[in-house]
Amino acid sequence: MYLNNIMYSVIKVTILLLTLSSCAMSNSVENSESEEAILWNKVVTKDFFQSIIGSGEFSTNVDGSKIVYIFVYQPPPSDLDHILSVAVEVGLAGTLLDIEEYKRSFAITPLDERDNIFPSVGARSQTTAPFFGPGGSSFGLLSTTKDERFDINVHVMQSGAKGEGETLDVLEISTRVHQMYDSLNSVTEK
Amino acid sequence: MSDILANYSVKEVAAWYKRLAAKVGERKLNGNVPLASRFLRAYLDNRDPKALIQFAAPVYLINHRKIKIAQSYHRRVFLTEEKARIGKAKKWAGLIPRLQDGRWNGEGKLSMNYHSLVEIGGTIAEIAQIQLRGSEQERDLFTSLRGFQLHSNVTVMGTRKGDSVNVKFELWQCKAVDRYDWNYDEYLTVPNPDYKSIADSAIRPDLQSFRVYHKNAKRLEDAKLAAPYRLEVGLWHVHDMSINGAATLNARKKLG
Repeated sequence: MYLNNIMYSVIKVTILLLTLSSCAMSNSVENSESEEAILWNKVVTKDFFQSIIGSGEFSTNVDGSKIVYIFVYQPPPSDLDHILSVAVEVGLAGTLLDIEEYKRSFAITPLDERDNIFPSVGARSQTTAPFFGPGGSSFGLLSTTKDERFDINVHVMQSGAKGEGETLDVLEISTRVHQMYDSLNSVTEK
Repeated sequence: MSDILANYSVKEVAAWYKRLAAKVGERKLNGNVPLASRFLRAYLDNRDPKALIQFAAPVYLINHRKIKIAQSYHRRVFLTEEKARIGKAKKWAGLIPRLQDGRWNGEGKLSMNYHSLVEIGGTIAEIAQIQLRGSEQERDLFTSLRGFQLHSNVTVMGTRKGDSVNVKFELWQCKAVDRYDWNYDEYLTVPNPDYKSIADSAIRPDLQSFRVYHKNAKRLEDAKLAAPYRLEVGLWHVHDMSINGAATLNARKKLG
């Protein structure tokens, strides 16, 4: 009886672990076969970046439980030192923009600075720490989709720009990503 | 996009740069104001292009992988395990040439220094890597320093038995050395610290970000509202046995 109870417990724990593992896989963005990954691969594409920046190299990278889409601008021969890299990182809600941390930051930010730090995109958004110096610039915007399922981090790094090229606005890029996601997600849900 | 700051007086532009420095400094890294903000503030406060301004080294610079790699290379140069890069040439340096030409007999103290270039985000691939897996600290180093000279100043203590010389690094100090200046032909896109601001002094509060042409930095410098400067970050003591652990040398080692 005692052995039977132990066996029963072991089987229960195994089933629970398998179930949890299965849930994690199905909810995970990094599983390239998941519906979520397929959806995001349609939202953030090389064409999407090219329409904003111009020609360049596009790559999709799985980083733990996140997908990071990176687009590196190909500058013209006259401006070869120009480095411009844009990343769109997607993770499950709460993994990039912690809601409690967001609420805390929002509460302590003076009223007249809130629109600067927390622009209006998605369910909520917050700018990441900007950096600027002779080496280059780095800035980004974190946001959560309106359906509260995903966090998105749009991030730009730039250096040595001389020639003409697009001026990147992370708010504008984020807004476009959200619009594309909302549109494709509503189609998927139907 | 046009040069937005060109439409404003040099005093207004200086004030905007100060607001940008404050914005960059809002987020503390390991409890400290980021180097990018400290350097920019120093630039705006400085009036002497020959000035040397020193900064305390943040822990994320001291412990950065690129620093460790450079220090490890410096160790091999001091111990004459690898040739030193001096200008475009490579030559043996460090302890063994000193032992062989009589500058040091292998007993007692000897001080040496060496420096080499360290680049953080020096290539597109590295920048993509910083975007993929880099931290805010690394982004701070990329924008503020990026390429700089890492100096190692060491004092060794030797004890000799025949041709065998035991060496202990009694002191190893490092500092990062660079010049804070701008390439006036270039520009960078940055978040606008005045975005959504209702202050009368705000510059283009309708724009979340815009291009900053570095010819505006030249305007500030010409108006004596800023000046480039030499900078040093550190000194800091190296306490890492893989860098400053003891070693044994063969004084007659053949150097090819």
